[in-house]
Amino acid sequence: MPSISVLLHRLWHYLREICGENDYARCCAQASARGEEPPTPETFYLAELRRKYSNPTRCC
Amino acid sequence: MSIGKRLVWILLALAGALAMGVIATSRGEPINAVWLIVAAGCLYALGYRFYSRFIAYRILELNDRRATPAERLEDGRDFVLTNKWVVFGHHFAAIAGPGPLIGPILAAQFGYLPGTLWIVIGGVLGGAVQDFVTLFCSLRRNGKSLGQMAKDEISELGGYAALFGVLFIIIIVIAVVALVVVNALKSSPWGVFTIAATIPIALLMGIYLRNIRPGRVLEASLLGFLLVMGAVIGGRAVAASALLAPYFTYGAPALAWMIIAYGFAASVLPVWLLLAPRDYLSTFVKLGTILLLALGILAAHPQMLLPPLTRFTDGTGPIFAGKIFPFCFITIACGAISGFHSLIASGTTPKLLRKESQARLVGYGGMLMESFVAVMAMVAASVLPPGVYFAVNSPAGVVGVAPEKAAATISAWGFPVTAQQMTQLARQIGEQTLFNRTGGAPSLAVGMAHIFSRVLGSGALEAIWYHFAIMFEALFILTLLDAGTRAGRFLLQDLLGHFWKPLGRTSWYPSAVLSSALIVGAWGYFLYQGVIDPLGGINSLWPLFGISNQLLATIALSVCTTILLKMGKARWSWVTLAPLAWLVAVTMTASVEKIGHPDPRIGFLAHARLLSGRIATQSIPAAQVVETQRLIFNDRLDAALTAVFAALVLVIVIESARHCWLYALRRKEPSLHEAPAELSRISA
Repeated sequence: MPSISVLLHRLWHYLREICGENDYARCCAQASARGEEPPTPETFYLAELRRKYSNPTRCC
Repeated sequence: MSIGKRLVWILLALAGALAMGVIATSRGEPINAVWLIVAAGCLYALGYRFYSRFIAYRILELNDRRATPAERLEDGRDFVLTNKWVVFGHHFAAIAGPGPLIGPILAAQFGYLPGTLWIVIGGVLGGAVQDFVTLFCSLRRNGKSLGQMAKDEISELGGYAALFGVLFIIIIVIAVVALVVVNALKSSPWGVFTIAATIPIALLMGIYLRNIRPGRVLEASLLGFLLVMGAVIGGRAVAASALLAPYFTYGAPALAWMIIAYGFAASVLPVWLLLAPRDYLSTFVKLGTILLLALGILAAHPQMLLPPLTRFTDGTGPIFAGKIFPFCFITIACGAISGFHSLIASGTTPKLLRKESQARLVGYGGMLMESFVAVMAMVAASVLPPGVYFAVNSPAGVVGVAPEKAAATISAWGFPVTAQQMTQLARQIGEQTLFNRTGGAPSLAVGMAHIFSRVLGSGALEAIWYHFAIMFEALFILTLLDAGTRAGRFLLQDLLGHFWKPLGRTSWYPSAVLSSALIVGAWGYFLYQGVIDPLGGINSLWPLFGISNQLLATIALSVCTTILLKMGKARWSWVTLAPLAWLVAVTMTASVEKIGHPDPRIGFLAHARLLSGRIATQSIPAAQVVETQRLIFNDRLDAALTAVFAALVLVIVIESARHCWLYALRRKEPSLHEAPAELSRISA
């Protein structure tokens, strides 16, 4: 059975993942794999919001 | 399956049957809320284990060796391979809105039994099936939207019906949830202060997330949460201050105008400044509070004071008029079956799944979780003394404005309550009055405050819990308002772009302002109509919302049924056909009754005739004639809108049936528009 610290670490990772906090690092990794310049954190964040809120994102 | 596992499932089935039996047969004395939780939990577990598995592998033939769109089209933006629990979290946060909390509260006027049965059975056999199969269909079509699938798999006409259905539902849903907020905040300086404070808090979070620590959502949300809690606690001092309270005390029309202005501002302001930070904050508060409510119910295991069936099953209910069939089934949409979910299931979610089999957990499991939220809302309504429940929820047009008269009317229905009891309760939770707060939010908040303060053992905190619950509801209702207005604006711009191309450019500011104004004007009109309605607005707007939501479910289930037939699964098509047939029966009956029922409290046209008669016989004071004429116009408009919804249901069902008939007679070759199958490179 995993220890409490492992469980807390997993929960923290889950929360970061669900909030999209790891997305920027992933984007940078993909950009560097393609040999492209990664966007700044601010540019990336704004582009993500534009993409996310152009469709129904919240239900009744 | 091993004998041990079989035994566990048999025991679970027996426990569920026993709990259901207790709920369904108890008469005369209150039962414990835990029976509801056990019955629902057991049925959900059985439904998930057996029914969703049957659909997944016997009918849909989910195949983990087939690459999902997230794998084939991975671009790091729209298509992203994502952990299934993260997708589940996103999907659940997206589908869980105010509907599953408010619908059951309103339907509790029939007693807790009809609503609970519909939530649990409708969720397992209808709502979860719709979400799951829609998600599967979109997953096999590169994450296409419902409208696109309706166009491809049924016909172009079906696609347009879906598009208009989405636009209508966005307008009606925003109007009705905004009305819920208005009714919760009128004459409540504490509530208004708390909700007003969330705007500068969201702006601060927006600046933090963009300029100070870009993308640090957890930090900003924690900061926002602490500030909002400060506002909830500080609201008591504002409400008690003779100097400050008047600045935060408003009647319903003024609040409606403020919400309309806010909705317009939120739609035209940059998304990072207000909408996104509010969304993060409300999502955390929403999920946390739902969890807290579940734990609270288990810890407090309160008695349900509301009877299983009330006298209002005869259709004379004070909150909304109409019999159990069809009105219970359109009042509780989200929580049992909600067409709006099909937009989420065919939007972002299918673009994130790693494996096809995960559609079962996310689509079917996510809806069961939402259904469980609705059961908890039903519990929160049922723990209130029935007299209190009806005093809070009955509109002034039905029970009168004076507290003594309202209490006497409600007591005469067989639900004893006194004006003193209500005054005492209002004082206890820090409000001036709790009468005529139609809409569900205040009674849910009173129920939640009752449960929370019982668990924590202190009535002194009841006022804080009440305003925390109001903040929780208003926060995510306003988020839905922001996000819905924005999504509606994009849809409208898409439509307007067909007439003049620049209007279709979402980045062109004049177009953004014009389309925002049109969308806000549309829902604002219905909101204001609800606010000035002497019957409380909920009586006319909530059924419209229910009908429009079930219209969307009809479209989704028609698409799913057509696709199943095209897949050669005609013998299993009853899985989607049965809920579709039920929804068509419910939606059409409700539409016909809302338009043409002779009772003025049910039929829009009968109400218009009643008011016209009063003007003709001069039984209305001259000063109120103009307002009455506006009410007559609103009744006719509502009737016309209901007719449009009913027509759209018929269009989509007839189109779908026509195509299925042609396939059955082999006059037309069924062509599936699935993306080509590719072998997955990801090991299970």
